[in-house]
Amino acid sequence: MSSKKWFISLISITMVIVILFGALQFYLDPLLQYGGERGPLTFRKYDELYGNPGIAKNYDYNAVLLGPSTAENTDINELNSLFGCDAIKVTYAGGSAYNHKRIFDICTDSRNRVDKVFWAFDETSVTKDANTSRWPLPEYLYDNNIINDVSYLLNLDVFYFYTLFDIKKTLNHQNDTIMLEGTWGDDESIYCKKNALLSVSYPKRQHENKGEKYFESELLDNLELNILPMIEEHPEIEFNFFMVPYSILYWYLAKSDGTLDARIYNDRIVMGKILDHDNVKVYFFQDEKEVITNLDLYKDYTHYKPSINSWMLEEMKKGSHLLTKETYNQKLDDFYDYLNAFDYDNLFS
Amino acid sequence: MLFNSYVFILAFLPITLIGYFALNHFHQNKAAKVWLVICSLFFYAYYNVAYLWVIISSMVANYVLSFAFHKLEGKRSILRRVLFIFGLLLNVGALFFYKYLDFVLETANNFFNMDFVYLNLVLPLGISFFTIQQIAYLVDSYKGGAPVYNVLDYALFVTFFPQLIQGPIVLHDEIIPQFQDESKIRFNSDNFAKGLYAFSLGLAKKVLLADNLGKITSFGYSNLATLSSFEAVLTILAYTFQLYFDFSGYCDMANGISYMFNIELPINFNSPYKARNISDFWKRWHMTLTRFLTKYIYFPLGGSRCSAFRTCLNVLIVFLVSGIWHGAGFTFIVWGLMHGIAMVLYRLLKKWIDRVPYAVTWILTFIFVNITWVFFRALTISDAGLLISRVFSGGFLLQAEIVDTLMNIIPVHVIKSILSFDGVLNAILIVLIFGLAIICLCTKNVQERVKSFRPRIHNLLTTVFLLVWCILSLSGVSTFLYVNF
Repeated sequence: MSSKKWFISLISITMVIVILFGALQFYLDPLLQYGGERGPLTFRKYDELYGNPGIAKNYDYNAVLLGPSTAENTDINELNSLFGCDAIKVTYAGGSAYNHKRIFDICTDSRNRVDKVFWAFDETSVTKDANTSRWPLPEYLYDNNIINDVSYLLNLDVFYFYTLFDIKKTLNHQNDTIMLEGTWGDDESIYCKKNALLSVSYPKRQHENKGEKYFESELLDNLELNILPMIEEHPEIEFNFFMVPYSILYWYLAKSDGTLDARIYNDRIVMGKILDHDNVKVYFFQDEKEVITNLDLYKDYTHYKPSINSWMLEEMKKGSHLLTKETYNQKLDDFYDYLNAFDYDNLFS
Repeated sequence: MLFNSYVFILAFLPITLIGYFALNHFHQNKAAKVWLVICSLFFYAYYNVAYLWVIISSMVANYVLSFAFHKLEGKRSILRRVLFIFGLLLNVGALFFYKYLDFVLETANNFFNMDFVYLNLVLPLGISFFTIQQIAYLVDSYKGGAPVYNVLDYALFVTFFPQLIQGPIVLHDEIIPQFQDESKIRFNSDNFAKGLYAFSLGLAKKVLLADNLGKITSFGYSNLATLSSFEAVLTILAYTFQLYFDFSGYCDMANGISYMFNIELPINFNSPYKARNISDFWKRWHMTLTRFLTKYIYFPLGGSRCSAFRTCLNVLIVFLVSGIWHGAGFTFIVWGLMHGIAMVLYRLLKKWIDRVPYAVTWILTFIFVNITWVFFRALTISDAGLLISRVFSGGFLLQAEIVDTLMNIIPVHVIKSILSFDGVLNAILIVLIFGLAIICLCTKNVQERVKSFRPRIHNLLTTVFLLVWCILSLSGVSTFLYVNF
């Protein structure tokens, strides 16, 4: 074989295989980047980091559920029927305000008109860097640049971990793309006091109080760059923030590592800023004592069972647990006093 | 721009090659060189255009200085010497400013309780490489051993994109004559095929081996305190192989691309892990750096033509410089000194060491090199000590995080789904490490393969397979969320 024939064969065979591969990926579109659920696949593997942008770009909806892992078990059908909307769930386990802002921007840039946002808010999302994601984002899925779609179409990992998986499920006649119900919370046996206590090592070394402004730099950046722009640039959207009820163990950890004051301060500053806007409602479930002290509702120090998600939706529908500009400070003061006076040692006895 | 990127493989390289050979085809040889310089500068500035001026001003300053040396040859020798010293200081100063100043300030702050503010400069890409290439040219010009080249040839010598960012460190007299050689300006199928072959093998070393080994390394160095013995040994070996496949893979790609332009670059790696002693290792690892340090530092210091003590000191100085050149940090200094001391010991005990059987000296050299790479990779000396101590911590277990990382590597995932006995991942990793050792020790390296390359159907199919696999692996799927917390 001549060198010329060798390299021409090499380039042409390689190009043909690569182009066919890309065409197949485009046709099957496992991450829903090109027009939603078209093509022969009836199943799409759901993964927040990779799946959310496609859902946000190509589904039909008028409401959006944002939040961390504690929002993942929210039943979207239940939310839709209670609030008369058509929502998508684009949550990020351990996500920061930056993650929520990125996906929110995709939603508002899509063809859909978003009327309502439900944001399961935890203050840890404002203690993270305001400009970066905790995990590297696959930017080629988050932007609208067709040139870098090459990273999606010619991606063997996407083919192996998503396309092949979807093909197998489709062949087994399974039909599910977006997790409408819970994602991890179905197994009731995992929720018990024992598991919740096991997630915390006791006794914890007691650190000095780090002061209420311990996270202030991240907090202010997140407000300025992520949270407030969402609210202010979209006065037509109703934002429903609901502060989720982490167990009392979470607050034990906060108290032990000296950040309790800072975490309450985070809540206070966030609420103070967002409640200035007419298009914001804040529902406060953090201090629901019957929930947060009942460790049988939790699998660890933060994650509660799906019934709590349903309960919060119902309470919000009733207009219960609503805070206003006038009431939020007192609510936080009371909660802070309660956390300080709580007998944590008794939990472990 | 990276060689292992879509934009390079699918756009930059084809466009640059077509432009270069098309212009030469129409006898626009000068325009072809200008095209290649412009493309190289685009390649350089792709990620950070802000530092384009650094390489351009470095190039202009060195060219003007070498021009002045020639003009002043034989007369006004003091001015010539002053200009020479100025040139050296300019190059070393630029490198110091961008690469070492913050390290010096940090050291002063830590040791003398000072309060210097750091500059936090982004290191201009490839500054260590293009600076020492030009220092070599400056020295040769001063000594009268280098002609004044055409400005375009000089610009191409400095910017030629295959070697611009990570070497090999090319000397002016081995590459500029090739740019001037008219027999090399036409497209050559043999060289192009060889180039594609070398590029594909280098790309496979980088994308399929080094990048996946890097996942193990990153895990290990981020979780030093909790590593089991198995994980610690795995981390050390994974980095040893990662570094080799990464760096030599890059050089193979650089050589391959240069072949496509009919240019031959010097060999940089010659199966270094086959080395039977530390001196042999440095004749095989980053050979063009060793050549530079020998010619431009060791020899001027007196080399081995002086007392035994002075020779040993010269060796230590060379390796100290090598350590500092590799990075701004005490770990690199320790790494350099460890190699320097080993070289001195070898020099003093050579008579006896050379009588020891190959297998013994090889294993001792390999273990020593592994230990030194720990200091090279660790963020601090205490981290390096911690990793080495974890080797003796006991345990064969793999933590959940590394299991997740490994399960995101397709071949591991496939094997794991076929075989499901206890400890299957440990077994896969052991086989992997042995497999890599066999590749390094018992097979031809890429340079040897390219030298004996003949276009055949079997190497065509192998190259297609590797190239397709690499192209489809350029953007993987990064860490998944902790879905199973």
